[in-house]
Amino acid sequence: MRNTMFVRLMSSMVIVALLNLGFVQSAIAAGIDTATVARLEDRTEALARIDAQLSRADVRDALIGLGVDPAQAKFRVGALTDAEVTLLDRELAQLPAAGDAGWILLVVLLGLLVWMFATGKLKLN
Amino acid sequence: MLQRAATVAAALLLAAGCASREPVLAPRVAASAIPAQVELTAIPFFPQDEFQCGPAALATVLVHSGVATTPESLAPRMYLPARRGSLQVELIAAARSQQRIPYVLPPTLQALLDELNAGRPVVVLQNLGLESVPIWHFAVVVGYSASDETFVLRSGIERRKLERAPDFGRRWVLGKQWAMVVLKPGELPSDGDAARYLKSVTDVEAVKGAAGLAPAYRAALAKWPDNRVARFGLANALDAEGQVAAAQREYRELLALNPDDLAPLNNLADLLRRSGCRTQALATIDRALAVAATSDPLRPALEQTRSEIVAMPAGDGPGCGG
Repeated sequence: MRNTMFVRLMSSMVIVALLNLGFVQSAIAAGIDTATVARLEDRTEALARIDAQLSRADVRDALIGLGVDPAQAKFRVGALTDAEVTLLDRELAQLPAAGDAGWILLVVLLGLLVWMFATGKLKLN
Repeated sequence: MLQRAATVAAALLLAAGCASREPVLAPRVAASAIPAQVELTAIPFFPQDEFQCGPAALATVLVHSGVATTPESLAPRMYLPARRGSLQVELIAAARSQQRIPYVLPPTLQALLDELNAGRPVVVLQNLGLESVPIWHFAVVVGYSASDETFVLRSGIERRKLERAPDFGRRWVLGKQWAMVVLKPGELPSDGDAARYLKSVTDVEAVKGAAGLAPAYRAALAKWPDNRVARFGLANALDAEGQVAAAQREYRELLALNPDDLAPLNNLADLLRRSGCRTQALATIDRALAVAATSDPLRPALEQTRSEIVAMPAGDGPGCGG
């Protein structure tokens, strides 16, 4: 994802120039979808749409890099909205990945208690 | 992971003596006239495998919503092996691919309680660790008791985990009070936020197409009759489902209110083209092009539609009328 920074910089001016063109890409041919109309009132969404065109391949590669099967990665990126793709492209490393390690916590907590007893740091009277 | 857990364990041991005893649920229940106690006992339970709380939590709410699925079949859609967990965004995306509308609640305790009272279990993001050393976890809230000040959760390997309200609150606040339900098309969430709901539906449409979403837009229109996005969505969904006459009625309804509304003009023209009604289609798209500004973001779509109409064979099909 980081190695696309250069492409991004190069593209930014082009994006501005092509704003209108990029925005309506999905609308062409099959009518205008509801999301497009909802987005028209929201400029940040419109910008996310253009950015997403560049980001989908990056996010797919990032998912593969995190151990996702390549065929699944393609499918998963396809299930995301443009705004979600943009979010992942920018912040994947910082976003919480919830997996729970509650049982590890419990084991460590018990271990810590045992250690505290054993070393005399904690006493029952 | 072990090092992180050890840090958190030590910190939690130190903090154990100063946990808050302030009531959380009682004042909220008193203020909002909801029952003092709710527990959705029929919610299924999928004890999670290692690090698979995301698929387990999502399967719990999807199965309750009538989807036949399992955590094992959802995991390939959302699990990130190298991160040993799942992202909120992919939980949402996975719900979409199961013909449900994932709806992220407003981040308030009231919204959470209202959904439970509407009979829907709620997926929440919790931080079981510390703000600086987070241990992220998805669980499903299935009930609460104001008299006991507890929440009831399906969580990890516990079918009926009771969490003291202040503990739940702290873990949930550290997760930015993120909460999600899944809605069948036609079900509305309890809060009255039309824009938030319609965003969730149009996100499904953007990814999966409009077919199957007519009940979702119709429900929105029943509650917010003047909502333009909802009616436009209904028209698009009807069109996608092949209900051409009904879709036409909805586009014309929008145009009766605002004759220069470009998106319904475009889609109606496109629908007329597909119905073989060249004359009407051309008149409709030309009306749109006459009022659209040169810089209008929809203009390229209008021009594309017009060029497709012009490419039609001359003459109108049967049933096109005047």
